[in-house]
Amino acid sequence: MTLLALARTHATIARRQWALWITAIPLAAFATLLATVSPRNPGAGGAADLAFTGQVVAVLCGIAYAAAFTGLFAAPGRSGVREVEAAAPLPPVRLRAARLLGTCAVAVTPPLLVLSALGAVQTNADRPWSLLAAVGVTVTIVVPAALLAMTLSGLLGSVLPRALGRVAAVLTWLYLTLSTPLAPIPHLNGTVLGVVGDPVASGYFGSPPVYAPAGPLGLEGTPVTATASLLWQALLVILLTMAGSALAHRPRTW
Amino acid sequence: MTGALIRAQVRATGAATTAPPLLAGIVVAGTLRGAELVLPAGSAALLAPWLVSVLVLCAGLCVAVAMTDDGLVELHESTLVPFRAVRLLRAGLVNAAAAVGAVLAVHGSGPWPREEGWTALLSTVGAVAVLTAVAFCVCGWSGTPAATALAVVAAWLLLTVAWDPHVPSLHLQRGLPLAVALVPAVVTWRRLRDSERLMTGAVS
Repeated sequence: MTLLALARTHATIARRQWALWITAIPLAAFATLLATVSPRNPGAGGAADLAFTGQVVAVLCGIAYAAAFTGLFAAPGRSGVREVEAAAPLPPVRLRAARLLGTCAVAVTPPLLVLSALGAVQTNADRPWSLLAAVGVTVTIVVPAALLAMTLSGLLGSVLPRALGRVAAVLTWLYLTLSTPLAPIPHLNGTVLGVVGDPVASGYFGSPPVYAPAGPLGLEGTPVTATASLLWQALLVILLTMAGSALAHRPRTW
Repeated sequence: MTGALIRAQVRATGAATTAPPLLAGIVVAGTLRGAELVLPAGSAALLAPWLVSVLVLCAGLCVAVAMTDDGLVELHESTLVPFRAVRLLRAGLVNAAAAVGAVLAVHGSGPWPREEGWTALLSTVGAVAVLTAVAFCVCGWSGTPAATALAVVAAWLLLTVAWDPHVPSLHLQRGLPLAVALVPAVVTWRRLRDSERLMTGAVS
């Protein structure tokens, strides 16, 4: 069974949880509304607007995904598909990667819908490529952020007990995305290693960065730094998945 | 009976869900005290509402976990105690912990913008109550921890980013969201009475 087939199965499982849709769609719509009325929105009516909206959606939906998916890698005391998977002749990392990809495919659908709606509105206003840009923003800004938030959530959920895992995942995500240069604590925002998608937004879509580049790693957003940022985020996701998968195997006593 | 019931739920939820809001209260108070020393005068007070809203989120997530992360809660229906009461009781315990945390955070920290005595406390406790009502609705209809946590975060974002900064009067700031959230909560409470139907359409 290939990774993609497994991921599709998990996407089906996630898709059938209708409560996820009812809560995730208003959340994505609310984030889009916030981005639209934000004074920092470029307001040029093109791909830059979409990229900024994508960043706001990625950060705000990321909070929810970090809170929601602590059971991604380890769900103690639940029987069902996971027992079947545990008995399947497949490496555990692949199973968990499939669960991550399948669930993520469903989780990013609401952001994709609202961004596409925004893109469709722009297409009406003589921006023929806006729908494509909306898909591009979803794939390069929202998907990496969602994957990071979900793997973070899964990793902390497999290390920490119940509520603490959710709280820790949300706090880590808030720290990663919202710690401003004003606060006297070290952080990644404003560098090429940040997870808000600044290099991508300015490198690929010409949107001004949310956090101005600062420090030795604060490179200007170009297509090269954007690609480097995407590779860095992919590396982070892979490392977090492997770590979460390894830790989820430990016998749990709580 | 009531005392034993509360003690049983304290045992069941345990420190895992009541400790985070308390800890958050202590950490918020400590951070604000520290920020007062490090940051220029006046800017520490600006941090206060944001840090306290993080405490609210911690408490909301703990409520979501206390209500959902227990596969056996439905089995309570076969005892003398209906599980909607169990859910409410567990949420109440987390709310009580959050109230103590809020006292620590609001009155244990030095700076506070627009300090109005106990109203700052009521605002925090009211926000946790709104999130509790939202969590009760979503877990009453879906029962999954993921959807409940998502809904709590969505409601928290709505309150923190869009509602609170624009509605300064406390009555309106907490009264209206509570009134709006209580209507579906009561509908959910009545729905959960029909245990026969719930047991046949068991939710995970």
